[in-house]
Amino acid sequence: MSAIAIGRPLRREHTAARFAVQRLTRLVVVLAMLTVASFALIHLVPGDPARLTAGLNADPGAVAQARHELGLDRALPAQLGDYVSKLAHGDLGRSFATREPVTKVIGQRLAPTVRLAVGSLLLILVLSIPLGIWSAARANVRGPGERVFSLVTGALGALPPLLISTLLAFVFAVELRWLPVAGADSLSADVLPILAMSLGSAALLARLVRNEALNVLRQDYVRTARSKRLSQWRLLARHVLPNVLTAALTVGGILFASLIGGTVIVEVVFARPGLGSTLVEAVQSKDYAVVQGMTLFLGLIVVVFNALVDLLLAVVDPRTRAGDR
Amino acid sequence: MHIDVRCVSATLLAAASLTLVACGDTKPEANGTAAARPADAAQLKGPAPAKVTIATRADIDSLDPPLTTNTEGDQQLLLATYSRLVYQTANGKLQPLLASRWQTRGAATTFFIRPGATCADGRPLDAAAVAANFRRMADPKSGARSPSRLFGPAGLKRITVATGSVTVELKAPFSGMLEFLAGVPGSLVCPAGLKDVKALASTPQGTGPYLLGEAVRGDHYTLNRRAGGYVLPDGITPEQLPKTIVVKVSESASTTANLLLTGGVDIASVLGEDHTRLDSDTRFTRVDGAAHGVDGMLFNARRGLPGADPAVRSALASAVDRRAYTSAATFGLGTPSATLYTPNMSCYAAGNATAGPAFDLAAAKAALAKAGYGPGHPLKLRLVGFQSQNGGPEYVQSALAKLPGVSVTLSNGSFQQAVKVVTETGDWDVFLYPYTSPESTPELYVSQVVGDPATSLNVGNIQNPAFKRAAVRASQSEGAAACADWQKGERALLAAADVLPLTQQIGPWYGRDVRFTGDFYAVDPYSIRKAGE
Repeated sequence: MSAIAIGRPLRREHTAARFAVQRLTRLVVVLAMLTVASFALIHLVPGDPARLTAGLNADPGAVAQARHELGLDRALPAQLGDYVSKLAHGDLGRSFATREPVTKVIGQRLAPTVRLAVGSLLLILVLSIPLGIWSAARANVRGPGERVFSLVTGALGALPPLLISTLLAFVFAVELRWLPVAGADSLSADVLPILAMSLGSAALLARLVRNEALNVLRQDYVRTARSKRLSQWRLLARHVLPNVLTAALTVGGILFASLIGGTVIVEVVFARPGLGSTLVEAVQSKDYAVVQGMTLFLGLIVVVFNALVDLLLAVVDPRTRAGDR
Repeated sequence: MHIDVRCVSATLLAAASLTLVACGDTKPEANGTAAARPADAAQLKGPAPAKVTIATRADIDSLDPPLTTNTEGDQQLLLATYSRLVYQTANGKLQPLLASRWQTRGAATTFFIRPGATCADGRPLDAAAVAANFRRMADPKSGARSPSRLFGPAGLKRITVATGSVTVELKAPFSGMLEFLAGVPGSLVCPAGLKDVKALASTPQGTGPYLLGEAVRGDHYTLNRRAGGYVLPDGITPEQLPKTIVVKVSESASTTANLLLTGGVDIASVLGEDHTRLDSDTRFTRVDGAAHGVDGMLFNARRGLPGADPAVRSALASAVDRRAYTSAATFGLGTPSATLYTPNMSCYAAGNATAGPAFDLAAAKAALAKAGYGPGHPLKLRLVGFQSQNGGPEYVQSALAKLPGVSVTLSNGSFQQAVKVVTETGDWDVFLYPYTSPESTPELYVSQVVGDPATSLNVGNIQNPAFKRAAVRASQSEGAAACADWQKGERALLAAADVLPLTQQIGPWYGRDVRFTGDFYAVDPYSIRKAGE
């Protein structure tokens, strides 16, 4: 008996550690692949990157200079070695256009983007989880609430971000003048972009949470709890919420990573600086150093967040480790 | 046929940005705001507002003058923070600025440097510093994008410095140099900047009237007027310059219009249908900033293709109505143009409008039949346009398809895709080409209509010896003589239907409580005045 009692926690710890090691190993492999892919990017561009960078009208001397600055006049293995060595020292290269370090370019745009992403994620979770659970709890109650929930979340989820952004700007900034049309220099300027980024995702997540909550509410142990006259609030808080959180966290982690890199439309509509618009500008201006650095950075965020979410889920809900056994 | 040139230049991208207008219905222009041609800055009297906020369509790329790709943001900041030897008024007149005068003899031009211009560190911008700038502009190792566009195809021979003057000697005379020196590429960098050129990309070191203060990439840039040490164009006083200019980046035309309506910016250019919201509002002054050059229809004249036959080119050109194209492509913002040189360019000749084929569908049908094409001998054309030309490509497709026996397939993707097709694959017959540039000389056409398609921008393989001869003569002469040659060259291109000019893009600027002047890309920082003074 005692051997079993001691052995179970040990096995559990061992399983958790093995899971963490597996996840971290996978993370390292993906990062290595990401590094090679970002290095290959410049070589996969159709045409001559030096000519693309210098411009079609550029003289041959300027093209040769661009080739040298991009390091393209060296052997491929030497280029890769140099690239990895610089990465190891936190050097993502310099923007060919502005000559600024790419890390500085990312640093300048990171704060406003993170502000939007964090604000949006919080709003998405705050709106979607209670709304989804509330809707599931009222699933058997006759009334307009259910139809309104379906209609509103369906409509918001289907609206493209461009339309939501434009509508919000028109109503609250141009017509009512409650909030600024554009900019990133005040908290009030963050309100409309955060709303624009959150509403669609919050609506979709609320529907997901509702489905998850309905599944839980149909479980036998919930019926048993109900039969023991557990109050509705306690039932939702103690049994439904923890189960729903697993799904919400999974989606939330993916959402956050996509919010960091996927803010282009909102940034353009609200004339704000940010990572998404910087990447698009760099692609348009053929600033490959920035494109390379940003691709790597955004990829890193996605990979690291996915790993973090997996680890967090493994702690919150140990059943999720099962798939890795 | 494979072409070595596979990419899009900054110049082409800048040109393409002229057509980046939003989609929507075409509506008649409202009566609220009367459009005005840009006036010369010196003609605008009265003081400047203390602070003005200008929206720019594109963020800055590089603030290093020879290296800049000339985005709208670059131009706005470079015009304010740097000074140039020569100033060009809105109506194209060249005036002294840092050079009090200049003297051209053959291929040599001597600039007499005006004393009084100092850099931020107090050092004067003397003849030696100007010479150092010229050397950097001509040095391929500096990364300067196009020395040949500044010093001509033959290039720079030598720079000679004397007390108070600099002589630029070219290998062959080049009449376009002064106009290029008046533009952004002619911005002169202070000695401190030349010592640390890498920093110039983000930190201007000029003798212009403004210093760059706060800079938040992608958001805004604050320019503060210097206490002194700068030279102004004739007839302008320091009080006529705002103390502070904020350049706000706003890429979306709708957002820019919203910013104007809510007072977020004072001056902005608004393309696309959003301009109608502002035209109907009497609070705004509208100034039309016109592009230099036109969007034109280019034929692929490589051997074996229909466009190699001048009779076919002429017939196809006669089937296209440039008024209808302008309406479809620009929402009424453009001006139909039958000449390649536009009225805001040097050497514009209205009389050349009749040199090319006119819109005449009946004549087009007859000419095409005479050229051997018709229902019995069909002509399949591959038309290339791009999405930011709005409905323009579709209009051209339908216009050409009205000719008996003609069928047209349209490739209408992104600008990058269009350039890939015309420069890499060669699988095209007609391309709607943006022949536009910040510079206002006919030189802008040369690299695009002369040369080997494999190594130049002459992707349509135009072979027009008359234009080539005229361009060589024009670049080696000056004034009226040069213009006579440029105009002769233009007539040759039009008569051979090598390019059919279609439309001149117009970028309407709107100002609230201010008067100003500007071109398609930027507001002249010397021209901003309070309204009603």
